[in-house]
Amino acid sequence: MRDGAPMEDQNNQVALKIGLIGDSQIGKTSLMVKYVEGSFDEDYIQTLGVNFMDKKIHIRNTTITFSIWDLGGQKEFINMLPLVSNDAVAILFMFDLTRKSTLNSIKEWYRQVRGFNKTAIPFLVGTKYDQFIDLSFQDQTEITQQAMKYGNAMKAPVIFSSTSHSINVQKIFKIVLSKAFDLKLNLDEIVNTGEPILVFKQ
Amino acid sequence: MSFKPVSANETKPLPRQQSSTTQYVYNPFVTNNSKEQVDSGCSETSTMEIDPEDKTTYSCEQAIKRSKSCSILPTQLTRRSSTSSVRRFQRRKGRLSITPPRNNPMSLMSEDFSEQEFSFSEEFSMNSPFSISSSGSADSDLESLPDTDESTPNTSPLYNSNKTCFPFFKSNRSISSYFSLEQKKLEEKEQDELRRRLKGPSIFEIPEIVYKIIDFADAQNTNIPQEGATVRRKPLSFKHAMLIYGNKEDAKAAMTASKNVSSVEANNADNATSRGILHNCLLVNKLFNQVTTEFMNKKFFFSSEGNFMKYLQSKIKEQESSLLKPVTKMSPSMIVLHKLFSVKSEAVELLNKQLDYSNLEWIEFFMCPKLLPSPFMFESNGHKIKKFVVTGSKVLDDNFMIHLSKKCRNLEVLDIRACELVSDSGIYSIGKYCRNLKVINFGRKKRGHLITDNSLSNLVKNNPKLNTIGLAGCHVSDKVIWDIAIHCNQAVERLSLNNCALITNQSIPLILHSNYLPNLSVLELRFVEQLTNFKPIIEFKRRQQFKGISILIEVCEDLCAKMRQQEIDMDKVLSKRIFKDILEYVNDSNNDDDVSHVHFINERRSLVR
Repeated sequence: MRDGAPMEDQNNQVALKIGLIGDSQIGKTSLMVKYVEGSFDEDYIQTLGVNFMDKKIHIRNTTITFSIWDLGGQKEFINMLPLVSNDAVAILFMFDLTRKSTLNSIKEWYRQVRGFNKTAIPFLVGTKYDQFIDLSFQDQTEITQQAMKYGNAMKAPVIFSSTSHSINVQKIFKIVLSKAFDLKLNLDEIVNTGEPILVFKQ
Repeated sequence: MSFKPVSANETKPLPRQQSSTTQYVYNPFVTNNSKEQVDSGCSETSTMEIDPEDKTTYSCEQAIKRSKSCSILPTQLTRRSSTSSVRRFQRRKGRLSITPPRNNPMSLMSEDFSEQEFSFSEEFSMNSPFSISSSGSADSDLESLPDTDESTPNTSPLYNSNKTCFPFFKSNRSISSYFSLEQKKLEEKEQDELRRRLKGPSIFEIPEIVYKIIDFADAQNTNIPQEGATVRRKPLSFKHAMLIYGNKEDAKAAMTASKNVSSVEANNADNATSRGILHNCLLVNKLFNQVTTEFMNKKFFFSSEGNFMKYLQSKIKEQESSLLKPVTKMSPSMIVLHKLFSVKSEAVELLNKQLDYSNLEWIEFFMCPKLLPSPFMFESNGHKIKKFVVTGSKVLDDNFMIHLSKKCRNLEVLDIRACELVSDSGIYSIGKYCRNLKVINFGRKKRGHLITDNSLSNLVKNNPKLNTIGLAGCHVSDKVIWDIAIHCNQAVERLSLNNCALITNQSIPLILHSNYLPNLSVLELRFVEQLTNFKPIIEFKRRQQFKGISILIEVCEDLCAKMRQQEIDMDKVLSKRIFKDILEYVNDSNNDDDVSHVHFINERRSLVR
């Protein structure tokens, strides 16, 4: 088992801390709220500092607790990065599929996070897939290829998701679990441009 | 003094007025004429001094200076002069407000000063009633009683300056010769109080506060010799330490640390003999001495044989020298004798003459093998005794225990470790009469067969408040453990069953499995060789940790190794199960509400069309 996955055997409790990192207004908080509460709100509310939510999943005798930490994307909150990244089992590096610049910032985010946590499993998550498919095919190809390149470099699974349309939201966290416990996932990958990319087998 | 005409004009009506008041006064010593002369002279000088306020600010310093200069004269005169000045002030104030412009080149400024004048005139007028009212009779008395003038010396310089500043204050007590003495006394009291108020830190004279101070000093500095509390027992071997701590450094530290504990204990004992700060408190003042003595008398303890013998000898001498005088006896609430290995029981007989046992609550003879507490200690006040600790005694026996149990029915702490003469009959009697026990310790290395279920079963049934139970080395069986689980269940926090060879899998594992002892936090199971079922113990440990109760399960090397192995096996099973569960969840495609992208794209296409 990896470091930073605190195992509490009491009633088979498993706790995992997950950090959400990325530029502002890409939907980190939305994704967290969607996953934990199942709801989605169109309005933008800027995260001041850090958000934190717990999601419990009961499976027979085991209870998995995801502690999801979400860091505000503005540069002034960078000093709270250790709060989010320390002891995290997985870090989701997130970008907006409709804004290329947010993908380019991932490099810097990755560098920053690695300074605090060298063991966390990285994930590359593109958001707003529902808006992404309205882009021209050329743009879609470019962004997809760029994202795959980043994912390769980071040795990270690449997932395109849509919080508002519930695409690949649950799958992100299933992949996190499978990676954290090194379990075999019988899920098909999605690799074609224009489809919600799901690449996790390496 | 170019302003003299002006000031003369101003003061003109005053002498007349003054003379008119003095006309009614009968003065046998001073003739009216001479008095008037003095008066006018005085008023002249005072006007001279005051007048500059027309051109310069009339500061407080000047006022004091002036009054000082006046006080050289007989008080009566100074009083008179100040009265006049008051009136003058009042008059001037009034006039200034009506007709500000004057010939005086500085007159323009005088308006600004009127405010200051006002404050001063007020100050004087506050006191002036005294001087006016007393002026009549005071004149003669001052002459006849000069000593009242120079009253008993006041040490406080602040007060002195006060006196010179307002000289008419004095006249207050010289209204008549009859009252003067009493008045003087009263005033001295007032002065005392004033002084006390000025001095400030008189809290050291308030018994309640001193009591608190000494109480604190006592609590902070009095180290009653106690057995050093170890966090956990020293590992039995290096291998054992390795099993407990898992790495070499910690294991080594644990093996050596236990040595340090004993040295710390020794230091504590040294400190305890000299109650440093309390002895200093004795020397502060009478009240401190009184309170400190009271505190020190509450606690009677010795941890060195030398000091104890010295004390006894000094007391014997004292008694011999004062055969006729009644000796005031110390009435301690605790008697603690710590590690007086060779002191014999005659010493206790001597103590009986020195101490009053009526307030005794705590008897402790820690590792004093030859000492037995005197029955007098709980003869009359047995119900007050809460704590009885006699450890390692070679003389404590069943008869004593039976006597103790009958007298001290409110015992809460009973620690008779390693008192190997005590057997079932003594314990049975304790169990029969005592109902409030909270801590018991009957642990022993030898002759464990003397303490069995026969006595303990009964004791446990009668004492449901037991939270600490030490039965190390006793021949107790599973029955007593079940009795403890059933009767004391929630109360029990610490349970020591080291070397209890008769205990089997039929008690502890089952009890812990059914959670009969929910608050248990220390469980000692060294050399309980028959124990093989550790799974419930490990589960219990984890359950307690999950509840936030820090738990310590102390086992010997052999058991520790077995337990560790079982723990690892359990973990394997557990993690296997967890992995299986998670794998199932992760691969179950029906348990998430994600929309399939094919569905999503199809929907969009239909919308576009």
